[in-house]
Amino acid sequence: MKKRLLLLAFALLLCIGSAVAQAEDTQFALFKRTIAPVMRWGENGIMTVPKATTLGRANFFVGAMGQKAGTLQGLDLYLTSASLMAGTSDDVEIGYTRRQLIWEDLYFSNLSMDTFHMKARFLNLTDYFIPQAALGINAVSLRDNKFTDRNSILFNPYLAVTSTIPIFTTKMLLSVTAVAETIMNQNALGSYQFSGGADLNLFNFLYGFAEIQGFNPAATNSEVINAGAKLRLGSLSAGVGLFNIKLVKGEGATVVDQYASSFLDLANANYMATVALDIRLGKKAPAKK
Amino acid sequence: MKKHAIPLFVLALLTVLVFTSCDMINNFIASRTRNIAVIQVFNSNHEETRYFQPNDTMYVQIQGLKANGFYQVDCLDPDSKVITTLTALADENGVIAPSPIWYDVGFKKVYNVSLGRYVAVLPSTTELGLNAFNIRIHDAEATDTVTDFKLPFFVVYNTNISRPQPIIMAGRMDNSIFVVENSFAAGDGLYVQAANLTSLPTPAPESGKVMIYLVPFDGGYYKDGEPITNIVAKQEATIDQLIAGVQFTATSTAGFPDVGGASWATIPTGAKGHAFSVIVDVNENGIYDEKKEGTTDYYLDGIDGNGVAGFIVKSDPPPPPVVNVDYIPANIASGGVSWGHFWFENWPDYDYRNTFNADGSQTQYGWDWQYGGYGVKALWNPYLSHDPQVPNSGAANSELYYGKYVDVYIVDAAAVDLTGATKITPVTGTHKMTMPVQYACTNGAAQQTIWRASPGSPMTVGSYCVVVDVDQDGYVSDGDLVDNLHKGESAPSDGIGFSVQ
Repeated sequence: MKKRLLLLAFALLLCIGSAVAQAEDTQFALFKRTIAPVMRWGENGIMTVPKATTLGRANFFVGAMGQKAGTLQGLDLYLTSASLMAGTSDDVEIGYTRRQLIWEDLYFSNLSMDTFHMKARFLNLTDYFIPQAALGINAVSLRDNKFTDRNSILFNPYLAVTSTIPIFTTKMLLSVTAVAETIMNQNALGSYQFSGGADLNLFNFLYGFAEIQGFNPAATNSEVINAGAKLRLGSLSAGVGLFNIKLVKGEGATVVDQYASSFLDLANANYMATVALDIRLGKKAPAKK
Repeated sequence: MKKHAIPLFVLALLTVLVFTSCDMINNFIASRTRNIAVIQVFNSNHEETRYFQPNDTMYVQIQGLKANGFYQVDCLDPDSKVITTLTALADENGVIAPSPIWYDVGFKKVYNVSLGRYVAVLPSTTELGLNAFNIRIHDAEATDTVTDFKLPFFVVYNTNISRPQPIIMAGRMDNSIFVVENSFAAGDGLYVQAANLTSLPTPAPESGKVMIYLVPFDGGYYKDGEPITNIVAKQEATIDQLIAGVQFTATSTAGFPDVGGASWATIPTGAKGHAFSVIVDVNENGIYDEKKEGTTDYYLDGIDGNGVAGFIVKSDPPPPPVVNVDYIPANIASGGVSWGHFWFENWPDYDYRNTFNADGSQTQYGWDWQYGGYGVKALWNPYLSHDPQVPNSGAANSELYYGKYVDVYIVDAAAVDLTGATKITPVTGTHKMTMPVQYACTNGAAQQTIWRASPGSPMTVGSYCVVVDVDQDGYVSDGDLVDNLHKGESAPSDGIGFSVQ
């Protein structure tokens, strides 16, 4: 049985790889970096790609990250994000993110953006091997950062599927995730986009992860990759990520040849740091065998 | 319970902070806020929004800059390639007033084989579109070397809402296919097509038709509820005709300057050298209604050319220049005084001037909202098209933006080299200004200030020309525009575009 499940997970990885091999949409990737919550990297999300796993009932998560936006008349500006996520049940989490432009002397700019999040897991047969699945949505205002008019809210619904595979022990977990998503406003839908990635959890202490955000099977282009690592000590965690790495395909008659000769372009990549605090009030749900 | 003591304490602390100290937090935030919205984008209705109708124009406003600083504003794709760009002068408050940076939002550029050039097309009539990009602001000529930052933005455009704003497009028919067009010649057929329009509004007009108005473009901006008074010609059409693309064949209003009584079965000769906007009035009430009163998403009328020209009709080629460069003499320097849409006696002259006061007095805003600041404005419209119609956007996504940008200089009239041998040098106190323009007609300056007379820093007395370097090669070359004309001249007499006194 375990062998069959391992094969299933491997097939899922191959599916992701195959989709990745087709294309991406750098604009959608930038959009997602702009509206995604600060994830519990490698746990309820990879970096900007949501996982089907959730925080768990009565567990809370406060995360923040930021990057330098530049300098205005000699004062550095930082684009910061802070998220508060709450697990309302074992399968549902809700969250709020505030993006704020801040000066180096800790004065706020009056440029800010709020985003709301919700995710509901609807498939959770076991903790390992068999994929879990969740539906989620991010919501951002299109006018004046107000959420009073439904027509002025842009929704980003998604379906996330995650499979977690223990490596010899449940203390070392490899998790792979695939996401299909779109945008929605005033009953109109955008084109479908696909994201995916993998993360490795070593002893609940060291996390490594990489994701490909926003590839579009209907187009052909280079892919955008985000990658990072995180350390966790108890409730506190800190990580660093490198966003917007471009995978430039090389020459070749076949896709395999093109990828074999591809290279990573870091020219437009940005470092991002994150700190996070877990507030665990709920019991962890018993592991499903 | 002991296990949860610390998390409970932290949660309780957060709860106390959030729910019992809101005023304290808000007051703290207010006391620590600089009231500077660093970068904002607007649509052509002057709304700060991330929602655009296709064919709209995106404006950008920057705050917190050095007073009178000279800056470059770039729209960058995610790979940091320039989609479109402009340079602008900050005012005395360090603000770059809303300036058009992205024309025809939502359109993509596609090569039309039969026309042999790129055309703008709507990607889809049923999808929600998304453009995500960065806006970067940095100094353009080392007037402020300590400013360089960028912020991510995204905009969506929806072609499929319950009652969206009609997208009105002037164009031509090419093998029975409607092609959006900004630049016509007399004798061409003028067609009007609408997207996002499927039915008459409620209540529907008694005629069961909509009214297409052809009005002069006067450099101004139609506001919601404004009467449509300066009508060149009007024609009724059914919704189905508009969706398919209907030829505009009406007869011009009798007595209308240059075109009075002329038929538009083909664009009349009198229309040469003029610019127009096209308004579709879906309830035939003679008023430009953006939305139904009391609603937020029930759009009514549509316009092609609000604040910028919808289309132009090219003038006859000017007399052959005596030099070996096929440049185009044209009036460009403007005082920016706009008088709204209520004129009838003559075509707008866009306040082209031969003389300016050194302190910029008696010039004013092109329109209230935009292009604040006193001094010389640039407006080239109508345009005598030599435009190769090749977009020069450097964006990696070749379909992302159909547009281009040009360089504008003020040069000493005695020093301008119309043979194209000497590099163009802006006179002291001015800069090479880069401006996005609309595709095909290369129109778009729309009274952007190109020489600001700031307090204590008047413009220098002298005689000048304005050069629009369309191909951005830094020299006067074929197809560039040169204002070396007096107002109303068709050929240069003394080679002076304007004087500062």
